[in-house]
Amino acid sequence: MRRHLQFGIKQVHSSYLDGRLSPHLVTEQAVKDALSLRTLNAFIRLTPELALLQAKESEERFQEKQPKSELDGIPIAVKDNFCTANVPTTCASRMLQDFVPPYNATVVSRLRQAGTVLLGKTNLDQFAMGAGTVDSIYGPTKNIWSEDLSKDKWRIAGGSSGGSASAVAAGLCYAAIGSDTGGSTRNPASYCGVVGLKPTYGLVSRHGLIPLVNSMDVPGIFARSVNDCVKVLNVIAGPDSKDSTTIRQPFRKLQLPEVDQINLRSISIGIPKEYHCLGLSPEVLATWTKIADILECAGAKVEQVSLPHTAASIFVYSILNQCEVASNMARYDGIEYGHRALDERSTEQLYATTRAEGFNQVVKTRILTGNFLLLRKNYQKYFEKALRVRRLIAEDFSKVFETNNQAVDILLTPTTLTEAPLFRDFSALSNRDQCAVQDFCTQPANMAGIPAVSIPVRLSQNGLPLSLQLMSKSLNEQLLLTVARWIEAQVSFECLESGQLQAAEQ
Amino acid sequence: MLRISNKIRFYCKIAAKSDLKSKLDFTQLRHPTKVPQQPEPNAFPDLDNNTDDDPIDSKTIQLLERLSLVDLDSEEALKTLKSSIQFANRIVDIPTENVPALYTVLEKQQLQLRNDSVTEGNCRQEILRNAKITDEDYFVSPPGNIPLEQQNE
Repeated sequence: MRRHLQFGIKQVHSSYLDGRLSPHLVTEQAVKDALSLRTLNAFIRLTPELALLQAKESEERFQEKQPKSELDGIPIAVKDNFCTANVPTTCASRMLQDFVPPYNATVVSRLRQAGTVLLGKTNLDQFAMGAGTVDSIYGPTKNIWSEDLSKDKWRIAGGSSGGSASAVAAGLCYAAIGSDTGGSTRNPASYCGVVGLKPTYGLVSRHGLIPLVNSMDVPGIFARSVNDCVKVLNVIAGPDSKDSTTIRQPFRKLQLPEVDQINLRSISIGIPKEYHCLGLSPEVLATWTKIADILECAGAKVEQVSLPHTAASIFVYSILNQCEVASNMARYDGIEYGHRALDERSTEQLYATTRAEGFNQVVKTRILTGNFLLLRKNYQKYFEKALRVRRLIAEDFSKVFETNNQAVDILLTPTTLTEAPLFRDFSALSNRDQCAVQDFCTQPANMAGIPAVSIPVRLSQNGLPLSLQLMSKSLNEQLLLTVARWIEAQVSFECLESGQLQAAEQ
Repeated sequence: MLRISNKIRFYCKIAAKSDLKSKLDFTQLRHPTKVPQQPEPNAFPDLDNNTDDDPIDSKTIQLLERLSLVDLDSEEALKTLKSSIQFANRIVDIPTENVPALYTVLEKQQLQLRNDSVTEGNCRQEILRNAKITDEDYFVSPPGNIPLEQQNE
């Protein structure tokens, strides 16, 4: 009898329509669950009053049989680097601890127009600089799949959008918004066992997303199924007059075929050999191998391809990231908004002290390194050079996607090299090494601006999610997510099966 | 109306399991695999031991601190800076003759321009609300044109 309640947004929506469920009740439950799982530290700030008010409005719309969309009344969480009108937006930093934006990011306002309920703002690495959600002034986010949530024995959620991933994985909301500059959506999705989509660069507006690396940043989507992910994408994607870097052609809403209608016989899957790098765990390798095999069994053409500049990508990414960070962070001076130090000796002194107090070591070092790489004597050697190699990396992709007779439609790779690491092992590494290892497979897609999705496949020996990544050419989300949906149906990964969640429910 | 309870989740798990297809066997393959079973040789050998050539002197550090308006406040930070520069050095030998820089992946599309007219505004109070110190309708800063005081000369 309750079969229709298997947590897909579609089923919740139809239950709202026929009155078996109500947005208010679902939201109340979500708030309660979020409070009872506070130990995860997924949220920087819950917005229960706002959420319940929005849920009530949604409920009235359903009573009048006039829901705004399929997402009406669905609780959603947003990473705390997206501006939310009159709700503090901190970037998990002291610098923006008291910042209250007067406006909504486009992603947030489109979700509002669709009638979603904002459950709260989620945790991240300070200014989204990290791969673990361990560098937040509000403390680290824990992974719901951890064997043990106590002391230092828990697993990291991944990052930088770890709070959003953790919230979806723990069943606190149906979807969440993150951002993805080098893998910040796909990496935590991989560790937390949820779907994580990085759309084509320019498909989703960045207006109101506090910038990290403008030439790579995209809003990302977390959901427990590919179908739910598509519903969110359909609401937030498309041109925006407030972001001149959005792609101008109108967005055609995606509509995925039913699983049994998906025909893989005309689809060509590429396995880029360079993505088997040192440090890839045997379990991830076996997962990658098996999924390539079942795709081939289903009739897809599977072939090995080469993206020769892959290994250079992480270095190029690191250079461009630090250069753009040095420039982007120049806006924080304490005068117009954000933290202001008590130092009135001079303007420069105020700026310096404000920034010394407002940024953590990771942010400061990236600014200093970025400015070193941008020095007049270094500009050609590092910054320009990195942009040239970036073109080679992007061309690697266009060659495999567009070479006439051998073109592939989809690339299949690991997302992360391992299962979610233990906090104590991860925090023993420097931030640079954390990112260099964890972003190996994810950041090339940001270099080329192409869409990529991480989907959970199975559990490791330790009972932790193992995920794979699919990539395709720009604006090919329809095919990318169709293949993702097919794999999802074959592997039957259960997003809400974690032991900690079951313990919390008793 | 159904009461939402935690039990629903539990129910869903059972419901999902009942029609679960046989779990995949990850050791069985039906085709010769295209996935490389050995790692690709690393094109960028680890240079981290090579810390001798000091790329950065104290004058440069002072310049960086002035440009960045953040302080390089510890040995640890200096070490990270040096190792980040070495990390960046890994790409300098990649041949890029006649390869133009890729500034944006949207280079083939025209940037959207709008008419030079006011479309929104009248939000002075909202903007000033986030400043810590204001005077009437102004932001306030301490005296300018005074160079940053730097220690560790």
